[in-house]
Amino acid sequence: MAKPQIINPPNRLKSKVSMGGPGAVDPERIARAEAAVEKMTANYLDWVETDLKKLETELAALKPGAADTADRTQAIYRISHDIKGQGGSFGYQLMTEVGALMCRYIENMDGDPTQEDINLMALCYKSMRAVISGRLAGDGGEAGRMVLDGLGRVAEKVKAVDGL
Amino acid sequence: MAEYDLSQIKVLVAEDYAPMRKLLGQILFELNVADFQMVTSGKEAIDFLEEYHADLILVDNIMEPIDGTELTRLVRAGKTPADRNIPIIMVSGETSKDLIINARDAGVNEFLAKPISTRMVYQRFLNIIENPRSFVQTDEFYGPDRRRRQMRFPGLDRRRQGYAYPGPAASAAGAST
Repeated sequence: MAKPQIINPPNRLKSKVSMGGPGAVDPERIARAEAAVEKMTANYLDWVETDLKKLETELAALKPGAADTADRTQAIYRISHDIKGQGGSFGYQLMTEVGALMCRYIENMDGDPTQEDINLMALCYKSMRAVISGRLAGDGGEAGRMVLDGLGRVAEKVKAVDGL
Repeated sequence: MAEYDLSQIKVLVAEDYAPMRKLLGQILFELNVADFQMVTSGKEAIDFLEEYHADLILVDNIMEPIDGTELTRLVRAGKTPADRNIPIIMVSGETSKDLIINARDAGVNEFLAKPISTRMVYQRFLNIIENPRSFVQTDEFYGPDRRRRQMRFPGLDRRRQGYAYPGPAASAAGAST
């Protein structure tokens, strides 16, 4: 086995940036960027609507023991993963939380989903719907707490498998 | 936070989810990155890098064909047109320990967990600009040093101080450890 070698490649990125000046990333630019992202929230609501429709379609077609069950479960995982990834960026932290729960639930499933698994996935979907239709941004206040409480059975199962 | 002008750098984004591409595009635009390009898979990234000489790659992990971890592995192995040392930031919604270890072992420089913000993206750029890690080459690995920090032992360095072990093992002091 060859001895490990330490290499210090030239820092090409550093050589192409400069410090300060009108184009620099200062606190004002960061604030403007964050405001611009916040303005994208209207777009986010359209995007997430598209994802929720796809999720609804996949869940409606998901049947225990069917030939396409694994593919549909994978599709549901991917959509939930995307929902989880973007919610918090637009202030919809609850979407990230419910999406994460759905992903974790699917990861912990032992083989193809049973009818109970499908019911619990559908519960996650309905919770996401409630968050978006109620515009429950941030933690969603009291309504947000109720949404998360309603997912207690899903969370319990995830925790049981995770050994928490 | 150091204030850098990023207007001269070229960034390639490989992300299959259209809304996330839009968000990343907006963030890069607002950070004054004038030249960035978007592709939707690792395979497309490799093809694109033939002509586009990126200074940094942002990769999603879950993509087909060729996910972010595999793309990183191929870049570090010199099996793509990109510079083997190009900084790679993995942007992923999946934050399990296994994924992070796999990404690190493939050779990513930085890991960015979704949901992302402008500040988080800029912070990862800063890490690469200001605290670049050395690269390590072994028979099985080429990439940034996987030890994030050089940890100093907080007590006496026994080899330097001629430390005598207490108790019955004291006679072993000075033996090679």
